[in-house]
Amino acid sequence: MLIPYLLLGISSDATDAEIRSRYLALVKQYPPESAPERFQRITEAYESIRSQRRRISARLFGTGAESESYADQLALLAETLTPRRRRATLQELFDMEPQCLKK
Amino acid sequence: MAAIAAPASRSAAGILLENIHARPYTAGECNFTNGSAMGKKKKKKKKQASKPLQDLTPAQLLQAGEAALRSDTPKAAVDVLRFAAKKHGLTPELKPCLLRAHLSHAAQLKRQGLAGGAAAAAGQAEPLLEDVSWLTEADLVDYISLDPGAGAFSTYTRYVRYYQRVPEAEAHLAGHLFRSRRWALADHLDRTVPLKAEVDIVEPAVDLMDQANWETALAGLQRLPRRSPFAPVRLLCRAMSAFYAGNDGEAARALGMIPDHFPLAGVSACLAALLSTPTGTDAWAAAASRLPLLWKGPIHIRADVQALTRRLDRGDVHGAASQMRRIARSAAPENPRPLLALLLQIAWRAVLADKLDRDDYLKLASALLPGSQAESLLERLMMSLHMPLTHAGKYITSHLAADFPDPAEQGIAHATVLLHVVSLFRRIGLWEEVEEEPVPGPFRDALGLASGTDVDRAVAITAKALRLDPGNRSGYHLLAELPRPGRPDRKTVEAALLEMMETFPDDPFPCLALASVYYENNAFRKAEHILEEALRRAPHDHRVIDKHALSLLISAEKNIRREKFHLAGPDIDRAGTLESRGAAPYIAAKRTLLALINPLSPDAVLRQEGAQMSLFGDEIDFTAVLDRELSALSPTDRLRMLAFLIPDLEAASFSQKKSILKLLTRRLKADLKAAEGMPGQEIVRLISPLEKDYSTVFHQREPAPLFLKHDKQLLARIPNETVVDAYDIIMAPETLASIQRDIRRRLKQAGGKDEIILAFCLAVVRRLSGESASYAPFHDILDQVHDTDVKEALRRLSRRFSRHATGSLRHALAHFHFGPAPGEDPQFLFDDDEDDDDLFYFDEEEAPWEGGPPGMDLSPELVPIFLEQAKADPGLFAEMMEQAVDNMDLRGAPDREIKEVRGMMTAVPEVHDLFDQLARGLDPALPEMAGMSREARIFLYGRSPGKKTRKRR
Repeated sequence: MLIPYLLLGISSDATDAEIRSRYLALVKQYPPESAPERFQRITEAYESIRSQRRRISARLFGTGAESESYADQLALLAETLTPRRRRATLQELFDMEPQCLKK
Repeated sequence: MAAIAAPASRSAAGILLENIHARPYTAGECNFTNGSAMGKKKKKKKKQASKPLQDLTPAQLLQAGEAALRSDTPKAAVDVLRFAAKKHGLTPELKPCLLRAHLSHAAQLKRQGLAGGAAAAAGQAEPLLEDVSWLTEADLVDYISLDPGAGAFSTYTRYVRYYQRVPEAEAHLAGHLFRSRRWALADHLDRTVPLKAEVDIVEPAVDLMDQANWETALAGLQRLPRRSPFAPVRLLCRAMSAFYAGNDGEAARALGMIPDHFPLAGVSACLAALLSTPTGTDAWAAAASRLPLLWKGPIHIRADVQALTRRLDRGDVHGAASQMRRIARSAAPENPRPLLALLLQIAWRAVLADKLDRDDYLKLASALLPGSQAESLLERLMMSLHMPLTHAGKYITSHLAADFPDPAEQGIAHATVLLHVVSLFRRIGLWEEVEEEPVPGPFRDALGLASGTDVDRAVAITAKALRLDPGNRSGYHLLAELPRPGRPDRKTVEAALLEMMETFPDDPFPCLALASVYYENNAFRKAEHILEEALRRAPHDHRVIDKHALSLLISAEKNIRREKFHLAGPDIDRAGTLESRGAAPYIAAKRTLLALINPLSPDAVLRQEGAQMSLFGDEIDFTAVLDRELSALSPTDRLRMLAFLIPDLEAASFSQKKSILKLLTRRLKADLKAAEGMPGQEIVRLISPLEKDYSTVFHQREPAPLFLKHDKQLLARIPNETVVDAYDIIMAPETLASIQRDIRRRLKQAGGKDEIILAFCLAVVRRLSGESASYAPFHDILDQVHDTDVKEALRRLSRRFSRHATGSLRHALAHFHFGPAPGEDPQFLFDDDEDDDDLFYFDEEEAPWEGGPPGMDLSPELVPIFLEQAKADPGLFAEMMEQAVDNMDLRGAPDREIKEVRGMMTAVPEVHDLFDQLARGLDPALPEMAGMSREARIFLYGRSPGKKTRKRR
């Protein structure tokens, strides 16, 4: 199941240490006091893949934490796949300038 | 003047313009000497065109040039004015006009997107600017804005020697440097122009921007003066830094201050507009697609996902497939397959919600994934729907190695599949289904089902999983919770838990679980020893302490029953010293019991001689005992203590039993009255039965009947949100009446979801109590439910309640399917009141299907006879099919449900063969078969009438 990896922003072959490190960085960025919903999602995602056994189980049968409704699951997928801001260089901004000048 | 006659109304300039447009003057034509007819014609025309120019005075030429400028034909103006300059010299009047012509031309080219041409055109003005004394500020700005070359910089340097600095011009110069990165151009500037020195600040910042390090670049640019011509660069850095920090407000503010002449004005405006557009909308996606390099991931994902959801809602398989492909390709163009697999897993929910037909889903999966991957996915999904052992076996033997090539992972994955299957059964609670599912031979080893064993399948499968993955802690927990009806099961569980003790030397859990196993085997000594090990491992773990206390109570109870009170007392005292909060009320109950029945109890006043004896001098002594025991307990624990003590005393023999029991009952009632304000959750705890480990300690594990007997309003004080938990906990024959009363009372005021849930509970209770024998109430309730969430809530509730039922009701509740279950109705398939159906009774005294449906006990030798008769009279057979549909309550059912029932039946090999041969042998085109209803045709043939195979695009 891809969603936990997408939520945490890590590749599917990440190790236990990499997953934990990423989780800790994210909860610093989204603490429960200021982003409770995001914190909960991040934590659920982490819990579902934090060990090899759990990752295998998620691959086979999902994380078990998913909503029963396919509509909710698709909405969550859309949120995790929502384009992230990409660091563009100055030259790339210049490359986009002609398109932006068109009406 | 001109060879061309002109109307009086047209000026010389107008005539000139016409001729210039008709035949632009070119130097090449002047040299044209070809004597060909075309050449002569050209020459003649050229002579005609140039003649007017030649003859015009400088003033007229100037006028013509200005007219060309006004009519927005700057190229023509340039040509005329250059000719004038060549012919008559660059006069002071001509110079500015020619400059403006060049600049207008350059501006026109720039508007057309020809930046290079514009720069070249502007550069042609440079020779005019050797002397800038005549240059106006506006002309200077226009020139500099269009000429990005060295000429602009040197011209500006010359200009500021005469005049004041022009901020607007410097802004353009800064823009040129920023865009071109030709920082050396600034060397043409005078030192008095601050721009020159500021290049040293901006140049390294631009290098950082080229590495997308906007934040550090911004820090470096803070040294720039506020009014620096490079200020827009700093604004850009501030905007980008805020953008990446997620501070869109700050980014928008900075972007809004960037001037229109800035080289990145377009990007700035687009980004500002984007940040003010709500995310997830089509407008946002359109705006973001103009700045694609600022995003990674699919820009249109929300719209695409919404479209997919709609298609699934409508059951549009083909639309869903194409939408899934689109999403996967846009989100993961390098490798869309994992995302396709994920989308398919999600779409499976649509099958479970009856939005998609299962057959269509199978086609969908096969279309989107390669064969083996699709099969692998389907086997895993089907495990949760139907015949989990078979699908698990198929998956393990056919796909596991491919999905998990690493041997270590493979072992864990294999174990995970096995535990998953056992958990599925545990969720439903129908353990007999584990035993009844026919498992093909090749799968048995994969599932851990060795032949010739008495071990329960669930235990065997779980034990196999733990051999594959000995570090799977949750697997041991699952094993410990499984039913273990026989000694072989307990032996298997014991072996696994002993293994767990070795693998997890600090965990007290295996010791506690083993203790339970030993109690079941009546191996009390072993239980005590293992609990001592638990205490050693976790002396402060409350589970260990509680279990230890329990073991002492079990020992005490054993001794009480053997009337070895001298041994029971110390056990109870030792249990008391453990300070087990969980066991406190039960310890108190046992101590009180012992005080009453033990003649040697210090609280007893006992005369051995057989004279009329009273155990206590008067009630006050017992009351003191009781108060002493109850005083240390919480209100809930006091009530529980009494609730378990009273039944024990009722079963015991002791003097003044009647008065003591009366006293205790009065006390119970008084305490219940005093606890009227008890919160709902606490009431649930109050009425909860004891764990089964206490079954050897007290006569009665369920306190609820006693409480409900003496407080008829007890359940009423539990709120609706938690009352269903209470019903589940206390449901038993003795409490059904109380539960039903409570439900009916609540239904008078309930509405919405609460009403449906309570109605369902009532239907279950009435069925359990025997008041109702029909499934009609369940159907009535389900017919009212359209909300998926409510339906799911009912499904979960139905599964929970199934453990209280038996037989077909249990099956129906576990599977949330309220037709007659297979095997329930002896007239299941061929319920027929007619007398003339001896066609299907080969021996009138022994109808082959009597007592069960044909599939369940159909002998192979009867199948061909049955077939022959069906072919001989297809009309009668068709009628029987219709009747079978009605008996199974499938009339009007959706295709999926009918196929599911058919699938369950054909799981039995003989039934499968029969249906297969019937379907082949009875042509659907026969009038009798074609005349059957949809339901009957699906039931017989497995598919809808007239269903065509869709062509793939």
